[in-house]
Amino acid sequence: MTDFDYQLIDDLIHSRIRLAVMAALAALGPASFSLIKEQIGATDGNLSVHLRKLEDGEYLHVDKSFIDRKPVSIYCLTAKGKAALKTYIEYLENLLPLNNPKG
Amino acid sequence: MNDKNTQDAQEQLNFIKSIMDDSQRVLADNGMGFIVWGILILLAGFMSFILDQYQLTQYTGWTYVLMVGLGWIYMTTYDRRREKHSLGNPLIRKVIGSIWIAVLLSMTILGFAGGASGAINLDYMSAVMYTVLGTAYFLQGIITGKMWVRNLGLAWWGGSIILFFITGPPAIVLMILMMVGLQIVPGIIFYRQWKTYFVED
Repeated sequence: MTDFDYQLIDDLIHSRIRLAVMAALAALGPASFSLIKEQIGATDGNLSVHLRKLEDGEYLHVDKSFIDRKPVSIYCLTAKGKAALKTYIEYLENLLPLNNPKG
Repeated sequence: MNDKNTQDAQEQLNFIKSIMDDSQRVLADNGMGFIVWGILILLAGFMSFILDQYQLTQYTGWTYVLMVGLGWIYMTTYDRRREKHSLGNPLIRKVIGSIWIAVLLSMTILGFAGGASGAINLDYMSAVMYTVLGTAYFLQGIITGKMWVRNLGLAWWGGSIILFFITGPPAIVLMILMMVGLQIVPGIIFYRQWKTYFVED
């Protein structure tokens, strides 16, 4: 565990933008595209691509609804997504010397 | 290699923490509650003024009963459905929502029980109300990290201090200005901000 094992890293989360999306949604709860964009400072196109990847990996759930008669997508983490983020954070914490005396 | 891993891990954790810290204070409310209550209280004040002109002041209390009643009907019906469209950390939403319910209940009790019993001089009822109202704005501003909302609380408190020392037309003008500037306008700002979160994606 002292060496960085890439096989243990969840590639889906490891991307900077996808990690930011997951962290933001973990704190925000359900959020719209615009709110996520504001929180992580990504561009529309870039964010769309990464949201789709997280959705395909079943880390996100998208709820399509109408607000003021306009279609809106509300994103939230799935149980699988929450578990993946937790595992990812625990893996990072285990790399720190405080949690890993051998390191 | 290990030092590099440790540094990378720490950076990633710091990044996650910073995103989560920023996100957990977000509250996107559509502000309609602020606007509706502001308009209802202005209407009550206007109707009281009209009744006063016709020397029908015995009905003044009923205008407030009517408007505050409408306010609570709004809160318990439409506003509850609208709450589904609020965004932000669920705990923050619950805390802020509870603060506003507590403040509105306190104001209703102070207004009706305090006024009807004579314990609170009606000439200074608005001063008492605005003092309580300032508390909700101040707390919401502190909890959500929005200094302009916190400053609204300070402005309500400042205005209420003045209202404890003046009566008659100057007090009415100040009450109206505060209700518009510190309640309805912020409600419109909240609404405009909320709408930006629901632009079509």
